[in-house]
Amino acid sequence: MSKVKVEGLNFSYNQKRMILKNINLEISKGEWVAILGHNGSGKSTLAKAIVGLLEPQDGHVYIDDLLLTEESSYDIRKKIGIVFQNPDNQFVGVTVRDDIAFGMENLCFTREEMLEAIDFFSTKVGVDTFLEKEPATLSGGQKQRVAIAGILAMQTQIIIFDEATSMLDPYAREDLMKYIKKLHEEGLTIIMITHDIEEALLADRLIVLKEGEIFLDGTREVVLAQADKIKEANLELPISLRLANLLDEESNKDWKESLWAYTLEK
Amino acid sequence: MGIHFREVSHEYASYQVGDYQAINKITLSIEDENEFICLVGHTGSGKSTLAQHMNALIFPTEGEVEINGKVITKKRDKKVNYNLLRKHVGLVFQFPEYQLFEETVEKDIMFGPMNFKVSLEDAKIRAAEAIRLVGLNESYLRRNPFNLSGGEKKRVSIAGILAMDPDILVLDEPTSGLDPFGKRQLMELFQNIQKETKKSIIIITHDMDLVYEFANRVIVLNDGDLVYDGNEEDLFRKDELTTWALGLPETIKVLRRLKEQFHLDINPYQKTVDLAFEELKKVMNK
Amino acid sequence: MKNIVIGQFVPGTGFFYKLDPRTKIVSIVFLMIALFLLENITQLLIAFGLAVVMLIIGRLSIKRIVRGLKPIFVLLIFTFLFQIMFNQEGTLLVNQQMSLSYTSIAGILVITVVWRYLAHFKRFNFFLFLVWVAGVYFLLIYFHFGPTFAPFSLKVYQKGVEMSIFVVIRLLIIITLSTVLTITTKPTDLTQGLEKLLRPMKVIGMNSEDFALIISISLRYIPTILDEANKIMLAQASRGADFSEGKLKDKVKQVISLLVPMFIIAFKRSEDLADAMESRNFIPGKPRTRIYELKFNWNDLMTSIFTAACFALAIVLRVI
Repeated sequence: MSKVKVEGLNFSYNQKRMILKNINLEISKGEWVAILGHNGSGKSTLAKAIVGLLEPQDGHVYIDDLLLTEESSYDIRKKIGIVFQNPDNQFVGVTVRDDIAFGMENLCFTREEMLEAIDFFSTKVGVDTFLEKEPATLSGGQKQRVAIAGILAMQTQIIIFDEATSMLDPYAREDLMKYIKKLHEEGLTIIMITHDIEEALLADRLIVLKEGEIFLDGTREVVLAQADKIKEANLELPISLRLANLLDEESNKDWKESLWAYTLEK
Repeated sequence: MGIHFREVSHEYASYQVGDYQAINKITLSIEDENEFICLVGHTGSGKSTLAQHMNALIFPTEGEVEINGKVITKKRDKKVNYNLLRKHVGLVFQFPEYQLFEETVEKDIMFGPMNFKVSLEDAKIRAAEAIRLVGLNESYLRRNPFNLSGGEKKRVSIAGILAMDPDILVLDEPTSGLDPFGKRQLMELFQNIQKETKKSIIIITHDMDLVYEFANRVIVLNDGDLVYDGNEEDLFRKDELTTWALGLPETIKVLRRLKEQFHLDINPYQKTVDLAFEELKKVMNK
Repeated sequence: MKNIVIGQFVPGTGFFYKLDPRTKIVSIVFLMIALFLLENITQLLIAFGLAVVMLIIGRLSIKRIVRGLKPIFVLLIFTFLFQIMFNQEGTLLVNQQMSLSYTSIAGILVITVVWRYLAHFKRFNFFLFLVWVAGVYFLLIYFHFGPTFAPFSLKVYQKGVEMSIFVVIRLLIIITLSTVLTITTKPTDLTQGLEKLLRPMKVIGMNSEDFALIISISLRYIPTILDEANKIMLAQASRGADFSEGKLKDKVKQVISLLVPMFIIAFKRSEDLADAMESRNFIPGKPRTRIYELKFNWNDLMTSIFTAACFALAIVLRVI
């Protein structure tokens, strides 16, 4: 059973330009997939289509083998959550506690269930010390964590991170990536949308979008080895690999291997 | 002329949280030509606060700042036209959304110069010049700023300050949110602007790769204190980098790794991939 | 900027903090109606006494309430003077002849200048104001050397004084009551209280739950928006937008340079927020549970009985 399946997805906002063209992909349980692409390649659009915020012109999305339709979107959203780019524009509650509760309130959890979940997940995510705080007093990284707690509290097993680190400073970014790694180790399925190849290196599988189409799809090793295609997709390899590619295959084999190991050990 | 900080401190009232970081007794001088400075430091180290003193947006709570010959202290001096100082030191903020507001790019770029009493005709000429300087085609002048991509908006916001013809340009994280190509393009742009116009450029950034490649002077802030003011080569040889929450540029890290693992006799302090490759070539085939 | 506390809510303990917001809202409405039913100044003074007792029982800082009165201080003075000057019933208490003359006008100008100069010493503001008023008073009566013109008499009637005191005290009680409400009730609780009270409005098609959500989201974003406004101002100031000077035409442009980015950011925000809320299964109009529940307790019962009693009493006094 796949967790997320996309079949033949086409999407356009205004019939003039196709943002997504014939997208086909399948993501299994527990996988960590990074979806990379230059600005305008359709990455965020794909993320929104997968959670049903956008309706495609053609194609189907299946979450846990359940077809995504307007009727089923309520149930589907119990299984998949999305953390957006702007930490401020997804924080609904007046306090941290309110915000974590928001999703559960929509699912009609009882008060006892909500309090228990908030207690558990806020501790898990590390925001339990400031449940009464208002969002204006929190940092971007803290707000993103609150968003994660709210999603986990709904018992979701799949989380999409839509450029969730791009508005954070490098330290908060590193922190959040470490936390995502932890979530992955606990068995969650992670879909990470990013334009930063360094971040994408943490995932098992890389999907590269180019002008709305899937251009590359494979493991890190397979995708990163295709230097020409990466360049064609308007992405830049990490410095370690760019250096490795300048080295000769035979005479500097061990150097190249070392550089590759360095790249992948993150 | 230029900007001179003399024992400048700035303390915010205790109830303010968030972006309000203090700075303590900072003394430094910035010339009004030919400087290419990167201002770095951890989040909360006071970089934005320091930058906002440079064009008199905020005043020191202690010490004095001299900008273009005018001295600024904690008291408001009725004789000093603080607004005029902002013509000499142009500060570009991180998010273009806080700045762009006109119907066309041209009108938006003209806003700055016209506030400083530049005539309509001259402002138009300046706008055309500024849009060229930031690497965008003249056709952009007629477009609506809100229909532009993130990178294009950034450039338009920079053009808006360039059109004011400041002697010193201060930019707060101009490359954030851009992809690697965009980052490089923008930094090369600043280098070109400097070569062409001799203006001094100060860039606040977190990206150590860019700092190493482009800066010829680096100022480091840590918890509000000025802890380093010197060239980029010496900076990355310092032991205190981790205390200052600064990382090493990637090229140095990679070369060091190879050097240690294979006992190579190379100098790991190379600024670009190509230079790193050249250095490796020296010890190849042995 | 960030020191603005939403509303005037001040955390604390005490009787009024324990009440359900619905009780507070409804009680205040009824108490205010009762207040307006009173006609007699003695009754009003008793009501005022009760209000002060309420504050003491509730352990509310009287200082804070008084501070809350500062903004409308001028209004109170104005109301007081208005009644005194224009109410001409009852017995004549004061009949003072006054007139204008060159010397008295000059005298008034002089003391006004002195007063404004001394006003720099902010601590004695009110005292100086009183001195100034007394000065004008005496100058208009006595300071005449030379020709006088426009003689008039300042008449103060008994009814005028009574009504002044009446109106001012009533105003004070109203303000005290509403200040008690805002100081002891969190804005979110207030919103939820209103939401529950306005439930019946569903009949005319207004969904009070959505309404309450709109209010709480607006409250949540106030500090954020203030912060952004500040940043926008700094960015535009860096381009020479001097928000303090300039001709009208310039000022209009400056205001636009502030408002347009704020609106654009607000629109983007609403789009993003709608996506975020939808992705977390929010469906407008669909019933949802709440983490905060409003619960009545004995304090609410006592308060309701007290309010009902006051209300009934006021009606009785009026009818008699």
